[in-house]
Amino acid sequence: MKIICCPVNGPRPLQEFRFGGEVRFMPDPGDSSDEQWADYVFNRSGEPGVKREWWYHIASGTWFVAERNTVTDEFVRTYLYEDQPADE
Amino acid sequence: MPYRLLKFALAKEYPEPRMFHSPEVLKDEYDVVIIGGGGHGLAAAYYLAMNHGITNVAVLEKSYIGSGGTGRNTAIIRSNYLTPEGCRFYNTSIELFKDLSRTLDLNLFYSQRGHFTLAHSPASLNTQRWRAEVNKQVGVDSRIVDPAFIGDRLPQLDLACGGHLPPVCGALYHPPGAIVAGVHTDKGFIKTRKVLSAVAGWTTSITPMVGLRTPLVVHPLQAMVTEPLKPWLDHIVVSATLHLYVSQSSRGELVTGASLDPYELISTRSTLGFAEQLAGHLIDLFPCVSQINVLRQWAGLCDMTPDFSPIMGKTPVKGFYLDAQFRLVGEKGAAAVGH
Repeated sequence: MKIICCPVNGPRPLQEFRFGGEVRFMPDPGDSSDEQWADYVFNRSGEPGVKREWWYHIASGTWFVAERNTVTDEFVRTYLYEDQPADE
Repeated sequence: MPYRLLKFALAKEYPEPRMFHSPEVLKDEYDVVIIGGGGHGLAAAYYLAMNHGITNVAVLEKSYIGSGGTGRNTAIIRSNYLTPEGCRFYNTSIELFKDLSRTLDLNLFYSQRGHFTLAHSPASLNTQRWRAEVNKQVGVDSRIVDPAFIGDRLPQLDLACGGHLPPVCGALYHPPGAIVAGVHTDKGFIKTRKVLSAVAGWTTSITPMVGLRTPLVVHPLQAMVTEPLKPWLDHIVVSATLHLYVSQSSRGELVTGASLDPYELISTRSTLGFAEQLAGHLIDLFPCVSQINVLRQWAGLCDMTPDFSPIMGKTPVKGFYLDAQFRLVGEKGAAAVGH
């Protein structure tokens, strides 16, 4: 059983979680070029490596950020969005 | 590669013969007579022969070849013009020029460069923006760039124009077509101008190599087979609600699978959770198989676009062709895609 560490509820089984896609930042629509906007709307960072992703703990309704290696499926760390570590 | 040039380089004497005959006596009759042996006249004669099979052609030139515009221009072929007609027209010409060195076995010194048209005033910048938009409409790569971009690409340029002229406030930039040069492999470098990436689940590992961003993300898709049984299931059964499909192979195994794994992963590992859930649902549908054993379980990689549409064909990187996102059905489309 794969275990994910919810920042609020601690280690819980994978079945209690839902994947929410990579963490992305919306460029200012009034201040970005068509290319930047199209890139934001359509493109994703699909390359292998450690990515910041949204994950949701269904049982408690907690959205949080996970840094996960998309090759090894290893969760490097998880934290609430507002508690983002200072080294970022 | 123009081999003739190599021969030319190795020879001690000046061996290049004249390219054009200039007969003392003209024939009585030609199918076509072209007045003017400049670039346009010679191109007309060339394409008459190449594309229309008309070879009985006379080109009349009062001076020597290359005496006019052909020998006096500044050798810039571009297509970032203001009118759509102009853009399309000159783009066609660029496409024709590209392969001409090879076709004629003659070095035309064709190379692709970026092109800046500097703007020194808002009015000028407006015109450039107009040009950029027209260019984009007809598929010519052109855009407005700011002074920082210009300074980065042209470090020698004084953007302030010495301080006594209107400074550079932007430019219309017509980038060189990014062209594929080759592929690095573990057995060395392969030179080529066209690369097709048809690697499904590994597409997102390839595209960053050419600086291409795509909507693709990779999810594993798992499946498993049971031990062989005597033939009893003659149909393929699918339940979208239970996330399950099952059939019996010619060897008697039950082949069963589900939907994509629920999160992104570029790995062919298989999971116990998947096997448990799939086996449970299989027994819900066919209680008779509850005692049989699972033999193998595996995962494949699916490169997915958000709308599940495949990506096939050219990309913004010239010479780089992409075939991606055949998700759950790659093997089904293989013949048609290759064709």
